[in-house]
Amino acid sequence: MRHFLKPTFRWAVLIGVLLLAAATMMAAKRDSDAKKAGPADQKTAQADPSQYVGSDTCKGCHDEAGKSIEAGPHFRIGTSKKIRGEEVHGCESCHGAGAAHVEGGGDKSKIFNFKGVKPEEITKRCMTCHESSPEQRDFMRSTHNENGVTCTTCHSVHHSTREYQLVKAQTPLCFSCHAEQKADFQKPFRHRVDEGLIQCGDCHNAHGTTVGRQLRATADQNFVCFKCHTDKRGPFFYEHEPVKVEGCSYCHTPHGSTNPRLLNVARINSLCLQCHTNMGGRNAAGSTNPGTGSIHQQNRYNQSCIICHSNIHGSNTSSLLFQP
Amino acid sequence: MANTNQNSPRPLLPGRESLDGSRRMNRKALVFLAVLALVLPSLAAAQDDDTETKGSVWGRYQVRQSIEFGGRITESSGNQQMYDTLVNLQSGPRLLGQELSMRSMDRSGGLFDNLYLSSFGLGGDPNDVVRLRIEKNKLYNFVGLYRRDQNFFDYNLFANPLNSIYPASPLTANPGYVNSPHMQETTRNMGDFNLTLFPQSAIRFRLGYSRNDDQGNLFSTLESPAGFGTVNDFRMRSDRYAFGVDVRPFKRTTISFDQFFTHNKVDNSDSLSGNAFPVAGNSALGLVNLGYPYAAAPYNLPATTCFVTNGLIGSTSCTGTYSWGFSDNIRTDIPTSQLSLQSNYFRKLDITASGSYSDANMSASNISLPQRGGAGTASWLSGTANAERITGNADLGLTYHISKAWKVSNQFRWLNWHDPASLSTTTDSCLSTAASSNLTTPFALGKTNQACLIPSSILSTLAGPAGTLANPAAAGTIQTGASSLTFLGERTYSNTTKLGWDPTRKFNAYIGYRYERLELDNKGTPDVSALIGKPAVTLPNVTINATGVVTNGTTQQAAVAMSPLVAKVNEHTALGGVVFRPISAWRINADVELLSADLCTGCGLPLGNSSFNTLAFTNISPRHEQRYRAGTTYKFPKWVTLNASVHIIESRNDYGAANTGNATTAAFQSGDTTAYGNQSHLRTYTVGFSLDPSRRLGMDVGWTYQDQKILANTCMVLNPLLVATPVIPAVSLSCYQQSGDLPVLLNYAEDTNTAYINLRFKPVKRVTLNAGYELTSSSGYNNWQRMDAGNQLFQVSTYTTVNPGSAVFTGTAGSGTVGGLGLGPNPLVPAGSLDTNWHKLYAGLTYDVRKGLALKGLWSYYDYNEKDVENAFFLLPRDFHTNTATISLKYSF
Repeated sequence: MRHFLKPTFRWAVLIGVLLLAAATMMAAKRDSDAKKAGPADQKTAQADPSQYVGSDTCKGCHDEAGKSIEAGPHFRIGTSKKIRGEEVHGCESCHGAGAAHVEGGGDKSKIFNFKGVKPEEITKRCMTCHESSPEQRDFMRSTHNENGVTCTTCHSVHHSTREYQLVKAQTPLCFSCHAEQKADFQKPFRHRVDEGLIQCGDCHNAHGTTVGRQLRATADQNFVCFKCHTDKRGPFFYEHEPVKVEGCSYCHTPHGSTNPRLLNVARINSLCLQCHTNMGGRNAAGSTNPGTGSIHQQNRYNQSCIICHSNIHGSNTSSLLFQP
Repeated sequence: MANTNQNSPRPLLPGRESLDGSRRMNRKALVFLAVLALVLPSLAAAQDDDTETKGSVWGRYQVRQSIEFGGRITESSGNQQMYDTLVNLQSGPRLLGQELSMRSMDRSGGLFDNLYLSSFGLGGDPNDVVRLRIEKNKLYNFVGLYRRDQNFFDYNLFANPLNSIYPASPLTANPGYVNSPHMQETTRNMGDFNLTLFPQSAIRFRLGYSRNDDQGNLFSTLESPAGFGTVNDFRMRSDRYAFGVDVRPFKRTTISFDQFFTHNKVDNSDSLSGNAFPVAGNSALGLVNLGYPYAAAPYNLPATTCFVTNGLIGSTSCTGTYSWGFSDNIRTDIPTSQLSLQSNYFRKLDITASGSYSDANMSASNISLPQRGGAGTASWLSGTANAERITGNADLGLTYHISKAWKVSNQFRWLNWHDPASLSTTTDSCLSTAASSNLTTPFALGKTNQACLIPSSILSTLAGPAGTLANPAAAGTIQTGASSLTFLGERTYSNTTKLGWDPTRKFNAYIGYRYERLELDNKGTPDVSALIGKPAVTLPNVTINATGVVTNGTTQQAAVAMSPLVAKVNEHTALGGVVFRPISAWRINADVELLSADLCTGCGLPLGNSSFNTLAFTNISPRHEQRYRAGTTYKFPKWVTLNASVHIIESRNDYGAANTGNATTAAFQSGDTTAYGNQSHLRTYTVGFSLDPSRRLGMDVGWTYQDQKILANTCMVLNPLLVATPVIPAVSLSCYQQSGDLPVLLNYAEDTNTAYINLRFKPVKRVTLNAGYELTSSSGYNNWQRMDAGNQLFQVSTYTTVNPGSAVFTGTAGSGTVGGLGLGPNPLVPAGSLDTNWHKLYAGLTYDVRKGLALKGLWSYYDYNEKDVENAFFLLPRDFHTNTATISLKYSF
């Protein structure tokens, strides 16, 4: 507390707050100006065909933007009349019919501008074409969409030359918001994301899924972990029921951990004994949580339950999940 | 610290040679590379300063390529196994990176319009990746990915059976070992290949193939009562084929059908490892400490000539196991069909729906477990196991846009899977007349005077001292058959409804409610076993169908009923979230999930006892959970980004307090002050900022603090010989119908600070400097406390170490005092990960020698440091310090 009372520190805090307030007011004014210049009429992508002026007209003023589209995967909207059965109109596929904009001498309020609109309006624009993709069809119900994260938060069709036109490489892009996960991946035990072996998108679908945490699943609706850790997938004759019912994250921290094998606690026994007590416990699946019995003297040997119960994810030969 | 590999009972692994010799060589090489790095820039000073390459034109393609070739030198001291577990970057030449980009300039290429190929890590790094992307406008789109992951893991992190403890009070401990006979070294090769045909047409096709191949060796030990080392030759391969078609029958509507087929193949082959535990019977080894005290009751103590007091194997005429092996072949086929619908046909209504069906079949054949233990004993288990996993799944998502600002969405999900399984095994046991030192249990069933039924082909593999199994034909033999059935199933119904409000781009919010019902069905027969003798008779013909109904055929025993045990869990979750953007540069978001589960029906203690229906699925499944998340990002000016977030998870399953004082079950005593049940929290706080004012300068700084806490009630049995007062309670306590067990509280805490700083600086056009530092520091405790008194189980004030003088022991005798922090009930468990510092530093220089040619140098430092005081005394710390230097040339053309 004495530190807070020092005059120098007090002045530093005061100046910091004032600078922050000034910056906020300046930014707010800039927002206000932008809003005044914003689109008065947010046209949808569907319009009277006579209102389309064609991409060549657009490029007359927006040459650089046109070139960037031609260099990227969206060049198709300029070379095809229909994509997946839907009409496309070059630049106007996304920005809406441009006749009024042209007639207005480039009046920004007469055409759809992706800056300064609600995130979901941007999403709807993009989803007009991308809704049918298996990867993106759940975006409207995704956690990202609910939190105001829209397509242009991560993608830039005019300025990015990266794969999927991401504004950054995938891993740093995700970390720019998910700083907590960035910290996880620098822990001593972690999935090799920083090393480039896997990416966030291997386990999560940023565009949403039907299960929590936007997690992917195997084709048969099993946990995504089993895609790589196939030998844990089963089915086994002797299942360790919580593995199947609760999932991997009940024992493991998937991103990174200070504990070996990404476990939630530092010692195996401290994890197992929480359920496997001698209280005569019975789990919801009806079978008993086997207690530690009288032979498992915790202060003697049994340093780690999995030395003997090494087939902890399931076994075909041992009901006690022994090796083997 | 010095390399302690000499303590390891297994030889050094190939490529992990002693560090002493290579260190001198590496230092010379480091000096050479440093000089090279200083000289090359000056030599190139007069070169062209244009560092960008525009590639070249091949026909209709614009082509750009780059290749980065170099080498790495690693110098490490300390625990090599730990370094390999965490980093595993070794010395040697590497193809550090490669890129090829071909782009058709007029979109009229021959076979393709765009091709992109890249790779890194080839030549020996533990992680290699190759990516290939090819597309031809309207015809196809192909994405290929190959990954290789070398996975080294030293199981010493969890336990080391060489750490031994003497059954004496006060506690006497041996010096610890750094290395253990537990280790994994596997390599996983993964390939994913996906092809989309006619991507822009109303009907498009998708083809996919994925392969996952994991192979290597797993070193472990088998115990009880003796121990010996084993090695598992592990081979796993998974092949997945996918075919899909998307049809667009109406506007804004797509129907997809996907067919997947996955074939998994696992082959296990276990045997005694070449550097197995030194078991008695090998006269060359003499007195050997296996690290385990012999087992207490219910095992019968073996002959005292095998196990002398203090847990030492001291006789050369006795053994735990002479031969042991295990093998099986597991094959799993998983065909899955899926039908999906996505539609925006109705302007205000978005629809997504999908359904899938899968019937996985697992067959474990050729199960073979031959072993020979004790004097004149042999057994062979053989059999087959089969299991199915039948899965049905459906989900339906609807979003109705009420107005521009309001929408309501509903997501329904149904999942139904069940695993019926069967197992049939036969165990043949043969024993000699000298059965007094048997170490295995089947003989408790008795013996008959039959010939040994173990096939000679198996028997011949069971090596052992000559003459021990003197006369198999005259020896006792026994055959046991077992047939079992199990059934596990789950039905989940989940419905989430949300109301969203999006009035302005500065604000949006939602509230919602999720209901989830979980029905679990677990049925099974007890093992239907029969003492068969010879000749064998038919085993009970018991079958189980997909819904868990048992059919009994002609059986030797009475029909075994399968009692359906169905448990039901209902969960209710309130949802809410808000996003606030006071200005475009500032974004604040927060959301909350509040879960509450009904009392689990069918989860009582015991089953059906309503007064104890307070458990969730498991003790650690929370019946109450709150999740709070909030984050903010502020950008001003554009090159300054500030961010902060808070993520809090609070969970509890308070069966402990509910059961306190119940005399019937007495899981907890009246007056227990720490009857928590199971409570935990995980709280994470993050702040960070980044500066990116120009291409010449950048900085990235962040700090995360994570606070984890667990309070869990449990019961355990302790050996009174090994614990000092006041551990054994003066007043006898008991857990549920288990007199003698001690009700205890796990009081676990782990605090982790993670920080990083990365700097990038380009002082002149040709030179780029970057440097960074990452720190992860953890601390905490793993205390086990008596529930009534609250004091710790393991409060040892003094202890002494011993040095028996065996060649196995290299430590120094001594004594000391230790506190209770982090000890837990067993002080021999390595606790290092609970109290560590993990540092990573790097500094790099990139010098653009001339157009398209860059010289790169990178120095990295890794430091793992275990801070735990007791661990440093009882067990040697597994610290390491490693420098790596990487020099490379990148040529772009």
